[in-house]
Amino acid sequence: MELRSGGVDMIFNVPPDNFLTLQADPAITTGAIDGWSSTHLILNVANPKLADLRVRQALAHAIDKALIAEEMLRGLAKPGVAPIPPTVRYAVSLEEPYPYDAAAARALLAEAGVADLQLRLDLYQNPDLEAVAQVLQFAFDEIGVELEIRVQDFSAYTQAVQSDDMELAMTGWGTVTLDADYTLYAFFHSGEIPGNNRSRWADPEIDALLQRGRDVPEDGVRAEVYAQVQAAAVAAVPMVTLYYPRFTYAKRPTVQGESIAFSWILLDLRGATLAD
Amino acid sequence: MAERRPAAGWRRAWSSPAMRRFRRHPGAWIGSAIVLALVLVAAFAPLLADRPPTQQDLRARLRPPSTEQPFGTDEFGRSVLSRVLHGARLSLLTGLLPVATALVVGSTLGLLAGFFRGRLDAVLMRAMDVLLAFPSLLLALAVVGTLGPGIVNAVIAIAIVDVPQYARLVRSVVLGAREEEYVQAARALGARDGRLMWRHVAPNAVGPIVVQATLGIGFAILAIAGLSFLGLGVQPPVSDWGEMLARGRRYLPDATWLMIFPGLAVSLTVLGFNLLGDALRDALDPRA
Amino acid sequence: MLRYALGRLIGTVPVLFGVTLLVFLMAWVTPGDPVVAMLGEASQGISRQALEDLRRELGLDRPLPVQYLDYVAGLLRGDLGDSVRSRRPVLSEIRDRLPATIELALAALAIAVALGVALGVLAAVRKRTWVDGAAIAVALLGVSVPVFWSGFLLMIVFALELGWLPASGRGTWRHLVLPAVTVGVSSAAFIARITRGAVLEALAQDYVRTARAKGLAPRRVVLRHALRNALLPIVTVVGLQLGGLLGGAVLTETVFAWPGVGRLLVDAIVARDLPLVQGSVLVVSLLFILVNLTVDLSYAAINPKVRYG
Repeated sequence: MELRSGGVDMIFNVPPDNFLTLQADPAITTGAIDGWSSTHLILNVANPKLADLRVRQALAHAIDKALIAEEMLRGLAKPGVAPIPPTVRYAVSLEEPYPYDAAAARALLAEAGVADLQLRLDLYQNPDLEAVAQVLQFAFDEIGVELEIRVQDFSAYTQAVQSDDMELAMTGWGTVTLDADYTLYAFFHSGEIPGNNRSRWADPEIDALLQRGRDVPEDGVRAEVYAQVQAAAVAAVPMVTLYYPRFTYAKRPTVQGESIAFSWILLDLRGATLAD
Repeated sequence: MAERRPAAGWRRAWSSPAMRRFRRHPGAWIGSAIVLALVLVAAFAPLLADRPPTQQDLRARLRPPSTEQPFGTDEFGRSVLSRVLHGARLSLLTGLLPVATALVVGSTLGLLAGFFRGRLDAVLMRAMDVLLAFPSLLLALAVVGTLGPGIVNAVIAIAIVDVPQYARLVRSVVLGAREEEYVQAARALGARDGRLMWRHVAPNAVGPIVVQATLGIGFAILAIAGLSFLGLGVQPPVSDWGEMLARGRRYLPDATWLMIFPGLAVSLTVLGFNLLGDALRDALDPRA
Repeated sequence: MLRYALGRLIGTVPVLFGVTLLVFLMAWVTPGDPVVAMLGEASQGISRQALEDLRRELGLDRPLPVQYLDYVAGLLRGDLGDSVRSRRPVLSEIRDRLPATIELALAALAIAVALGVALGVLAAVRKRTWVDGAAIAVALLGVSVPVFWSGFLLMIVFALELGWLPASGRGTWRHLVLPAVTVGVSSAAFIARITRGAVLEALAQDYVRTARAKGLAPRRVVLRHALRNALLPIVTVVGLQLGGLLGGAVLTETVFAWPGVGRLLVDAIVARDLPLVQGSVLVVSLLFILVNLTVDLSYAAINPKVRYG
């Protein structure tokens, strides 16, 4: 609202619905860039409720990522598969192993002998995440899983996810070095438990691969290593990568010449001018 | 106040001219109708609503009111009509609970203070004065600030705000009754206090308490909606009218229907209780 | 007069005592450890021993009454503690926001008194006519409609659709209009209701009927006799409203992003910033008490009858 009335010249991380309105406004210039961000639903595999792979697969099947990205986020995000967005080096394009299929989800739960599953989702205060959480709540309800959403301020959230009784968590993430190691190591190496590896996924083969990716600075080797890690991570569902949000901004035409790459963090105003 | 005659008992209160005045008051009918409608909506919300309030339809997000969705849809494609109707349940509950609690607690305190007088009276009334020293919303915020946001704490907060009213009210009725000769006479003759309380004090107290409670429910609904609007009442994903208003804010100025209908619901509901309360008060106090 | 004033002042002392006690106790009633509540996020990395030491250092292991006296002593010095979030003294945070709240409160009060008293008097004088009915209806709507809804309606119409006024924030006089009108009209409704009742009651008094019988023109009767006696409840409710307005008109401040104390309080509550919550509540209630006291004393100065009542 402030942008439209002229109180402010530029805004970032525009909420998707407002973005469309601004786009339609001839006085405002909008833009959406593929950034380095990704949003994840993290599952604590060490928790007995989620230890069974079929349960995790069922949860993955319950989520309609395309719907979320297209409708909820108005196309300002791409449905996620791999844990790192395509802009990151060594990211691979994988086929979605768990497409939206509520029936398959229910079947898997039945097969695993699970009924009346109740799960808790921890997240920090963020309107977009909270909204997606509610979508997930409804989606899980469709397959008979009751989801309790717990929103807290960031420090309480951090405490909650580092505690062993964490079940599900949702978080945004940014691969700020644009290299696969930054994210994959943090998420999946057993040494990162429980700090960044909130899934508590401990697989010695994965650890070895990740270590290799760090030890051997050869392009070909690293590409191979990270491709394997990503494929394994997507299959084993320690987390579900929901989407890669595009970085959005909106500005009045008075601002010219700014340069933005990937995120507002890299906003470069050095070449910018403010016309009248 | 109402006629004071020896043995002013229950029967007299019921068939008094006050009730006749009440029936003639125009606001009484409208107010009662609204309150009744609210109760019915709250009770039968699932039947009245076209679909469950939590049912999402992401492909039909933020649609303006139409023939199939009279109140439009929200950001999850949920029916605003359904959510407003179901919101009536929570609003009614959160309106009644604090008032009922405050009534019971406050009246008891007032009774004790008025009856036993002395130190107890002084202490209790000072405590009430302290509570009244805070503006009401501020006190509610202070309680929520201490206990933390949440609907239970919000109800407790409003109850605390209301307690002094009932305490003072009942206390003054008790004090008034004590002065009456017939009461003193009855005591001298050995009538037990409990019986005295019931036959002489209670009927005189009922009227003002009912007025206070009715207006109090209106205030409570407004206050809880306000707290929810600030994010201090119901916590997502639970939703009441106040929370719907808070969320609808994000979609201004486009999806105005998200704000119009919940706000209308709150206003209408509070109006109903206020009309009823006013009518009751005017009926009991003929001078107006 | 002096004796009355002194009496009232002394009467306020126990209330002040109670208020400060309640605010002080907030830290103890709050779920969790007061030390943790005070430190907030920073308490996470600290060992239990260190917390114990801190507790002892801050004197939190002393008996409550001693701590309370300490707290009051701090208050008298102007020390309300430090905000957990900003690490600045609470008093500074409040002082930054207070002018905005006072500005809004005074503007709203002006609107409220002008509108409310006029409406109330009009309704009382024209009792049982359509004017009375309309006035009652309008006032009833005013107290039933939530302020945060009417605020948005006004914002949608005047700021977003018509573009005459800014939608939020504080800056020029234009920014003040919508918030002040929103809260002022709501307040006016309360005042109107009380005014109507008070004037009606005053008009029903015997001496008024006598004056009428003597042949004084009705308007003179109203203005001179009835209004003066109706003044007490009116002034009382105006004082209450002002106190409430100083309470930060929290809801309106939130709607219009007005940088006042009310919003400060809400943000503090959400962030569990206990010292700031305590400090804001304390300052505002003290202001409220002060306003009511001033109103009482001014009224007593004008109308001698009150002093001996």
